[in-house]
Amino acid sequence: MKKLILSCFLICLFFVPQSCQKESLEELNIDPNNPGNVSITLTFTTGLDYVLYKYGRFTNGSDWDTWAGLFVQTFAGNHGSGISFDQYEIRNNDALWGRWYDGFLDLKDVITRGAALEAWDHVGASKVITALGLGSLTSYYGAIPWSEALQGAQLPQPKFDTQEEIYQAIFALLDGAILDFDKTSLVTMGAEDIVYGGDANKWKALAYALKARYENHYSIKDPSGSATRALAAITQAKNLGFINANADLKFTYDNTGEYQNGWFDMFENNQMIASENFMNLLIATADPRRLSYWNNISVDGTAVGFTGKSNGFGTSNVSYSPIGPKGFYGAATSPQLIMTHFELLFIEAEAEFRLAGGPNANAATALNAAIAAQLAMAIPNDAAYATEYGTLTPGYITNYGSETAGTVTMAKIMTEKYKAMVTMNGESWVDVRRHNYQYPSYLAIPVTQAGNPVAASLIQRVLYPQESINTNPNTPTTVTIFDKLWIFQ
Amino acid sequence: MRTKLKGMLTLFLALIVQITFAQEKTVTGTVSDKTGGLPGVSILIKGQTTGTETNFDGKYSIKTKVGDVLVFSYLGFKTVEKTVAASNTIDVVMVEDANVLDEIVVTALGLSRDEKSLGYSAQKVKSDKITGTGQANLVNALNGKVAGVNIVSSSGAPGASSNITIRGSSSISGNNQPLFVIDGLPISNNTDNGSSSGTLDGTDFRDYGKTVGVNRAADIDPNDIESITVLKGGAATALYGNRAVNGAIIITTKKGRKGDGLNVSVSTRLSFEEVNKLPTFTHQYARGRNGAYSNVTHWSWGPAYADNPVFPAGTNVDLTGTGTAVDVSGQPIPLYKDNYKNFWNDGTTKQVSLSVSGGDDKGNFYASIGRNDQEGVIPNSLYERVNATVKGEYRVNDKFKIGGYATYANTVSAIHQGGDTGFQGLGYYHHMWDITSRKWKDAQGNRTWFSTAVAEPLWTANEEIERGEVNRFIGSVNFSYDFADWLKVSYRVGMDTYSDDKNMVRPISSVNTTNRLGDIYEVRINNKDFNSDLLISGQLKLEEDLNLNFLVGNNVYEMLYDRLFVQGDGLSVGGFNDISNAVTVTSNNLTNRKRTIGVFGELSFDYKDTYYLTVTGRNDWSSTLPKGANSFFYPSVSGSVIFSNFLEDQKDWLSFAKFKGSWAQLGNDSQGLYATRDVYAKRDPNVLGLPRFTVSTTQGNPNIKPEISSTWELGTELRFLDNFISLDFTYYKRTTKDQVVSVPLSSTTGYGAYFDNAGEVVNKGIEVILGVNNILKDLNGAPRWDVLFNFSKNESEVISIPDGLDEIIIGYGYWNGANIVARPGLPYGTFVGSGYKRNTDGVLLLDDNGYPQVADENLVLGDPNPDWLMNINNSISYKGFTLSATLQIRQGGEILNDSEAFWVYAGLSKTTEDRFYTAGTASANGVAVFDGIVESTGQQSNIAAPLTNGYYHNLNSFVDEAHIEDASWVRLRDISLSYSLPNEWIKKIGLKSADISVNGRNLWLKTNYKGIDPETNALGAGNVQGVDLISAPGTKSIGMGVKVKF
Repeated sequence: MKKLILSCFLICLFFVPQSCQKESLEELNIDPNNPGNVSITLTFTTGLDYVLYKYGRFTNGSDWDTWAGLFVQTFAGNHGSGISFDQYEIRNNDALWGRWYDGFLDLKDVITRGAALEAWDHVGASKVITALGLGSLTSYYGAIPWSEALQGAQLPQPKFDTQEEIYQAIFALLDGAILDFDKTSLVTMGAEDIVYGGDANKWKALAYALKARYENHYSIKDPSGSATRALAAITQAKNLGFINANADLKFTYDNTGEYQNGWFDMFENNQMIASENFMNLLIATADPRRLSYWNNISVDGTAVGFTGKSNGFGTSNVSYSPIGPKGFYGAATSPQLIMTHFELLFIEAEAEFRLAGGPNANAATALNAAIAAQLAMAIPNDAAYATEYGTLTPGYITNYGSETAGTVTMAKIMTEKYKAMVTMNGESWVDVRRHNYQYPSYLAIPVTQAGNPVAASLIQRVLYPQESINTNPNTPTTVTIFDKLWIFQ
Repeated sequence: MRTKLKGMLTLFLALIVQITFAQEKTVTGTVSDKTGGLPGVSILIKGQTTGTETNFDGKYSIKTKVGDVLVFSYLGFKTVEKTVAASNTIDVVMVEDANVLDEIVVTALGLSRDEKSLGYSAQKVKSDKITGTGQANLVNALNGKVAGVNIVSSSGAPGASSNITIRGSSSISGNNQPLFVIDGLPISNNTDNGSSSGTLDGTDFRDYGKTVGVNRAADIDPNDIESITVLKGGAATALYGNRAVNGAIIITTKKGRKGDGLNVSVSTRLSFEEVNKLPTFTHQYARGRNGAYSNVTHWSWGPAYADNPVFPAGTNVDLTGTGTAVDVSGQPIPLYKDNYKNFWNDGTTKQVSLSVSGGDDKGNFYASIGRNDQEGVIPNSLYERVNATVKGEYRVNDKFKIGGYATYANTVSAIHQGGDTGFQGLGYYHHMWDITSRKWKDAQGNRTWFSTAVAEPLWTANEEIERGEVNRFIGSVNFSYDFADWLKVSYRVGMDTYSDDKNMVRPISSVNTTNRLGDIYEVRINNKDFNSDLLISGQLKLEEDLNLNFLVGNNVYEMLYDRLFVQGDGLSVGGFNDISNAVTVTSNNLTNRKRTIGVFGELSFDYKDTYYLTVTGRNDWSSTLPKGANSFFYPSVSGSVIFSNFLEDQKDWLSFAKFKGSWAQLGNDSQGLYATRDVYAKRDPNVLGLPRFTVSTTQGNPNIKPEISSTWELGTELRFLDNFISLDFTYYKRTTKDQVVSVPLSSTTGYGAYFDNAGEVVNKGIEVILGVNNILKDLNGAPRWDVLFNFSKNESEVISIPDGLDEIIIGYGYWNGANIVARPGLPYGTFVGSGYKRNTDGVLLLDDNGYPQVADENLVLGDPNPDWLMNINNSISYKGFTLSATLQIRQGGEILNDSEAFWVYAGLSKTTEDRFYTAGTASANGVAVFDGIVESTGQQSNIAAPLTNGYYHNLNSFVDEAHIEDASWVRLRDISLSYSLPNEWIKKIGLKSADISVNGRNLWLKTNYKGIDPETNALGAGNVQGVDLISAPGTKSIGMGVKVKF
């Protein structure tokens, strides 16, 4: 009896002051699921991935890089959001914005901690990708947070920098990166670099190529100055090896997990298909890229031929050509191109033309090289397609890729670039807007199947994400999709 | 064998009795009520601890002596005292006492309290009310039984989780469900779902495609429950502290009784269930688009069946599911109505339970095993539970008592995914297929349905099944030592552990898997909750009429939750369902650990059995709070006055009257774990084989504080006309401030959210419990008829949220992603989404073609919380028959009917029956004049707008407002008829009692809701409530049961 009571009190003594887990209250509050510190190489990979992955992807929200294909009318809407956006029903969608700033924070983590470690290659590459992301974001939204961004709850409502300030930030990041690549890095960049496998030289070339792109965006603001600066950057980029497709910035898909090419998803989902005008242009010019871009069979095996749908049409019971795995761009493992050698040559052609104020040999040479460079690369996956592609290519080069100082025009340069930039729709939309929707000549306000134009003007921008409106009162709320961005004014 | 045992026991007892009381006399007798012998009546000799109980016939025998006073007491009857005189026989007739206030209720920490002394609400539900429902999940069994409790069973799937809230939701982003306590031991009511994190918060539309797990309180066998007391928060749960901030469900299990040997009880029940309400469909249109058949579409916007359509030339289609498309050109397009209805099976539930109990002066025991086998309405779905429980108590001597409780539950389940993947196919199922006969796979095991994006319902029901097994063990030991009346020490330590093993295989060719190569996931959960309570209490007589009860105690609570999730994508070998068969395997391990240590005290005064006052205080130290600031204190005060004691003259009509009031603060540290610092988070999958770690999207806050919830409660309890009518009225107001909120940050800050103390939610309301007891008592020989009304009305309002935010999004709907928000000035969980443009008078503003227009801004659309709830419980008993019924009314509260949005889009909803293809198509030329003003002219519209596909898509399916529906309902929640066989029959076959019963659940439902039974929720238990998305519809059931005691 006494023993029993005694043992009960022993149990009391055993359990009351402590219990099963040995750790103190403070120790139990250390998250066992997530580390408090990781190597910058890990956040570096993540930052690159977060920004680059969003090119050429689509969600029902708003991956504008993809949906912009509707605005430039290489694609037309087929169902769901595809139809909404094709008909300019733009809401305050989210998606893209969140993932990118999330990625910017990881890149900032690399830039901040990498500087202390003198990991200059990582720091430089992080700046380049940040600049790229800012360049794309401002092309959709104009003013966006940057100077006060990425500070968490310390600055919960960052102000919106003007587009001019954003461009300055882009150039500062690219210039800073170029300086970083010249420094001796104490940390070797290796496989964690999912773009160039650790080749800092390629990164430096890319920094110049992007500089050329963003300088060229000033074609309205400063026609000749921007041309001069773009050409200077192009020279640097070429000197550093931006001379073929090996230099391209692209996202490689290995078709594991979520890493399936976004256009293949589009092939399966079919929200966007070929635009009628664009398909007709490809057919009329016997363009081999009809086979690089489009499939004549839909995902369920229905033969659809090479037909496009008119922009703004809406729902239809006819099937049209999707982008797909038979071509170059739409297979599950196709790479997503982001900044390419051929784009650099198109920028060169445009800048040369603009600088000279008219046709000239340099512009013609660059244009011909640009067309040849893309045609050499964009060979369809399907064997029969590839054969036909090979058959059509020489003729196309003869007819459209053999310009001279006398024949080259801005219309030709921009139309050819437009034809080449399919799947890089965001940047293509910048081109289209810089030239006020002049090229190609068929661009017009989409018309519904009832025959009504979807709006009174062409779309110039998208609306700010609802998430930003909800969480940041600095978000401009009076914008409409018809407001021209500063850079296009 | 049994007789032998009984004989020995009697002999043994007789011997003891002989030895102890040889010099005294034996009094025997029968205790009865008006229907006959009353078993289990306690007979005590006043002033002594010795006593006995009546046997099954109401007979007793007790050793006593002349001059002793025998006290006969039995729950629900007036206590009788008889003085022993010369006679050796004392027969007693007991009279029922409807004054339930003499009841003892179990309150926080397992403390028994006289209900009349309580200054707060505690409502008790007895065992027969729980088991009588035939529900396997005790939370469902409570539905309709208690005022102020809102229970929503998420679907008709077996083992579906049920959400329970008491007096509304008050925490913006934390838990809003009460604490479950069994015999003093808090237990887990976790819900683990089939997502990688186990939680479904509706922040991603894909959450709607996951499996929804059962709430773990369902592991308790309702047959073991003696009673449930619902403590509605505030002062009632102040001693429990933060875990019971949303109230507590206090479960008391059965125990053995002292008395006539072994009691063996066997019960069994067989129930059949079927879907109780179907959505309405149109069967007028075939598959197709724009009025023409299309072989690739998911839509039913094709030709009208009225026009006898045929398949167009060149149509190859696999109508029967052979796996091969055949040319059907020119054949009539088949029409099978009722595919939705025919998809669901009839369900069956078999329940068996056996219990054995017994006891003597020294101790008692209770042991039971039970089995619940349910096959649900979804093909292949099941929920099988086996329970085994043992409970015992031993009195070592007058002062020292030891007890223990252990229960084991094994649950095997087969469940299906939610509406985004599971039964999405029902959203598109064309009438040309026959769901009762179509084969879903070919000879190779590949799917035969056309779609590469939407799974066929037969495929998901038959091939994509999550199989789970839970093994749960709950055990506790307790002992107490009474040093004196003024010093008692008791200690209880217990453990609640479970393992949950889930696995889902989606075979090769499943459309929802990456590249349609199939996938597998495996989930392994180990959960361990440890709880220790040390209580020191005592009673002191301060003055003649002033008593003090004191209590001090210590509580240690620890939680260790460990969850391994392994996802395998891409299966290599068909039919080989091991994770090693996957090409890519990703896994994550979630470990949640927490400890709180509490010290608490209570002082209770009672003066002249009329004035009662209780003050409590508790201080907690929590591991989830920052070092140096992890301690928090919260007090409560409650009291009551029995003012009927002043009204001796009015006793006739006012038999009892009490005022009660309380105020309490409760601290709550239930914010996310590890919220005080920043971390890096692993992101799966790897990119090109490289791991990804990202700066965590939620920023930590090293200054986080616990949130504080304050509750006021005032009420009265009145009994009229000798307890003929009882009325309990309570008003409460609960304010939760300094809420620990995951505050959304603009993603441009680099983070998605940070933890902060901000925001306030108020819930206030009333509860009315009105009982009319034995309505026909004045009629001789009339049946006993009791009616109990439970009415509750709760208003929730979000008062403030963190500065700079308009609202906090709690979750999203599915189809258009309507937001479910906490926005100042609106009830918690309000729907905000796309709606129609209206002028300030609320009149629709139409476009020039006469159509409604979608407003530019999101609109406030509805509130999922009911305006009020009422339960009417009727019980009529007569000569062994008892008929009881619960009528339940839910008034108000909206549901986002995303199922309907789906069916409108697909062209299957009845809503789309009146439609327009072309003006020349007689079978589809519907037009409507919308009631509104043409915005450009300001004139009332008289334009007949064609009801085109575009209209239904863009202005109906894609507009949330079109799918916010009133979810009010009236239902016959339960009805049962039971019959206790007369004693004279059953005694002949050696039984103590035998009851047979028939019960029905949800047999009648009245609602204007278009879809299934509006008691539904796509994401199961949790804070996102009120979304309907093609999950298993609710059911009605009929059961038959037999219960025998011997």
